[in-house]
Amino acid sequence: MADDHQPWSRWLIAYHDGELSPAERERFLEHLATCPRCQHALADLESLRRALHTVTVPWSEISSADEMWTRVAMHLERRRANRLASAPWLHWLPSMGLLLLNVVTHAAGLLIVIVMVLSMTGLVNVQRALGWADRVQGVPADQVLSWVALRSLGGPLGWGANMISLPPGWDAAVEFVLSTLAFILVAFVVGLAYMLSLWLLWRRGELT
Amino acid sequence: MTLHTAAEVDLIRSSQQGDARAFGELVRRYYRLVVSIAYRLCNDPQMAEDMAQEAFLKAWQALPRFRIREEGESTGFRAWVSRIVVNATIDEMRRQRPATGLDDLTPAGGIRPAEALDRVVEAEMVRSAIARLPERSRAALILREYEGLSYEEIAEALDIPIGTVMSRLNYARKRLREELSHYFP
Repeated sequence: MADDHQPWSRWLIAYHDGELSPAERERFLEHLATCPRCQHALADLESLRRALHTVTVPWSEISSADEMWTRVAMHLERRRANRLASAPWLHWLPSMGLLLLNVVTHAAGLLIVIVMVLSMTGLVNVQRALGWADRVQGVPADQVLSWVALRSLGGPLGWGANMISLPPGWDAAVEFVLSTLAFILVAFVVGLAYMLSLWLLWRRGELT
Repeated sequence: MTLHTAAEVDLIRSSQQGDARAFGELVRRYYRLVVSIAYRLCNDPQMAEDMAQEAFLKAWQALPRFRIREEGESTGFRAWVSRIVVNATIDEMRRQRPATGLDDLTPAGGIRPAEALDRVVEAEMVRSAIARLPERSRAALILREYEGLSYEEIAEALDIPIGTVMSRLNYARKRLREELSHYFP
């Protein structure tokens, strides 16, 4: 035979634990008023709860929250110091990163200057050496390279355009945008990687 | 979201970004909860303090991965930090069990029911009965009865479904009623 009271038993426990919604609570209280079985079971649960609360935490034997935080903060600082001691490169990583960023940016600029000079003086056929296409928009590739190199350096500063006249047929706007982006992207990618590594270290508490 | 919860969200976000002072405020807010859970699990004030410290250190490390609950009145931090301290304490108790088993928490025999009228003895009997519960049922009972966590929070803290929370609570209460029947008729 099914126990018709079973659902109320579940509600009783949920009521005791404060887990009923206001509507459920009201409904259960109506039932409770007329059900000696639930009244007895509830008294039982309350008696147990009173018994459980005879056990208290001996706070007088336990440090205060401020003392605990002092200890936790000391441990965190010690861990950080230990990590730095075991990885001294973390000390000079920020300054070395900035140095590296400078070196890479300037090296990229220098490379562009060298290629530009070689290409403009005709000492090296850069186009053939790199296997590029013969012509871009009707302009010989080595001239294109010269232009790209010149504008890569000068474009952002606005003076590259005056150093050499525009070859016929060359789309100046496209060339300018591409050469400028080429230069900026080198610095941007390197800088982004560096900043990302610093951020990750900071998130892990390695840097302050 | 209440003002209290909004302030807690700020503290959690700042802590996640490495602000130690904000984390210190969280430690102060949750210190009693964390110590209380640890103490009620292990019955040793010194160990409870050590476990609280361990839990906060673990919490600091794991904070970047903690996801603030977007809905409801709670950030979910209480359940999350409860989970850390429950796991840390149970792990440590298991590690120490060969040396200090649960039997050590049980007072020596010979206490007669009449003596249970004394409040201290009464509390000791309850403490012993709780200590004899299986770890996970004990944790559920402590989180519910002493710390007032909801079923949902207990489920989060113990990483179990709500149905299992209810069955563990029922089991723990039934066992305690049986064990304490002489003292709390």
